[in-house]
Amino acid sequence: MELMDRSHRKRVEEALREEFGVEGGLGEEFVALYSSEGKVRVTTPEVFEVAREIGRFESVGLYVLKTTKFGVYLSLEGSQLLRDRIRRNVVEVDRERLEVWMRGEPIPLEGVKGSVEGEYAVVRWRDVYAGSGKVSKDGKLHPQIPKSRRLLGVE
Amino acid sequence: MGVDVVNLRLSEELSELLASIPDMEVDEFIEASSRPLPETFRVNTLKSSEDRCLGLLMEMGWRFERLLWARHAYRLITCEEGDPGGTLAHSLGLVYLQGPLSMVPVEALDPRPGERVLDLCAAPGSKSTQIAQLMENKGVLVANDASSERIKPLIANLQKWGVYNCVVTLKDGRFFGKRTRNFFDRVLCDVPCSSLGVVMKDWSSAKTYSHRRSERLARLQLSLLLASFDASSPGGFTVYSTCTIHPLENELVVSELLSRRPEAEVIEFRLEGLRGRRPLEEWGRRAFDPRVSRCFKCYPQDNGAEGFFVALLRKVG
Repeated sequence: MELMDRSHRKRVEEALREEFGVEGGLGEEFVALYSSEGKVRVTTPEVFEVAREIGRFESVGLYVLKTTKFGVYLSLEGSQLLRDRIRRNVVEVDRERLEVWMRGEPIPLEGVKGSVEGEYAVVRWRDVYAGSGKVSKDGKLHPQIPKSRRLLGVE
Repeated sequence: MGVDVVNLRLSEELSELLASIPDMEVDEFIEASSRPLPETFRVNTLKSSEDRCLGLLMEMGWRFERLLWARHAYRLITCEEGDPGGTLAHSLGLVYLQGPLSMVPVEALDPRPGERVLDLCAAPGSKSTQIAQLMENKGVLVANDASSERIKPLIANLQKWGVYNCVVTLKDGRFFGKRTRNFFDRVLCDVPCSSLGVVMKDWSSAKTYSHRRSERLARLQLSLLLASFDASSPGGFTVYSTCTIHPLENELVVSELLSRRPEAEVIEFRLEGLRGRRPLEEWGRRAFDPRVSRCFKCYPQDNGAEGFFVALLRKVG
């Protein structure tokens, strides 16, 4: 796990601004760390300092987003952390659609509140933000919910 | 509503142990250990306010009542699915399912925002998430475990709970006594134990009980407690806890710590609505340090839940 350099962080924050209108980036109070598979974690400088003092560690901070060659995906907790600064591409769903989303299945955007400009959108139910997904050509939003977090479907 | 009562058969060795504990009501212990554990949970105040969280749960069909002895904690009466672990609220990380007595050690530790806190045997993360919640994600939480298998659920649970002020380490807990001496404001030492206080959750702990294993565990527990205490700062606090009723793993371990660390003192604590009992002064041929009586102990029959032993220690200085 490496501390993200300034230019890399700037690129990620620029992508956040473009996709979701996030101003202020990941937050001045946080240091950003680059882990495996394009995943970005955040923690405080104090926590990172203690982690370095201890030496070898398994994990630090919170996984907030994943960078891919197509764009940025916000994790459930990443979208919750940044929720007050997410300005666009938020779709408000009802509980039924949220359950579908949390099963890891795509949700149709037809009939949801909120507009999507571009390919990415964050899902919200009440004040719970549930991560972001990518819009397919048939107008569905595809989630990136880890298997361990998925709701089991009812047969 | 009927109650599922499991027919709990005790091994000869366990029967002997129970008979040897002077304040143990054996029939009541068996009865309480045969009943299912009450379902209790904490709401996630790191993701939303408590009121908002409770409102969402009610909207999802959850009914609950306050659990008196732990902050943000509730006893589940009913929820939309039979199994709260399979619900939307659980999947979103709005609730953490945790046994009612399992919340006591962190309440005794009472971590505060901005402090440095170590959870020495942290997996799977119930108590670490509780600590992070009380710290309000401020300060530093080091969550350690010695098992590489158990580290994964620990990391997953901290993520789901929205904790960003944490470092997860995979180390033998004794590392911290040497390498981070006097470093932490508070240390939780919730050790591996014979688990005889949670037989209702895992019947195998009663089946596999052996006196020799408890003796081995007691040696390990003492070494972990010494490391925890050494890692705490002067004026800092250490909580030692087990989910067993065994005097070797409880009273004896704390008594040994007190004899080896003269700067240790035992602080008495009380939590609302919780029934406990006085720890033993002696067991078998062993007499314990009288200060051990300030620790908290309960058996499954005391609260209709787990049996736990909790010692709150302070390093004078």
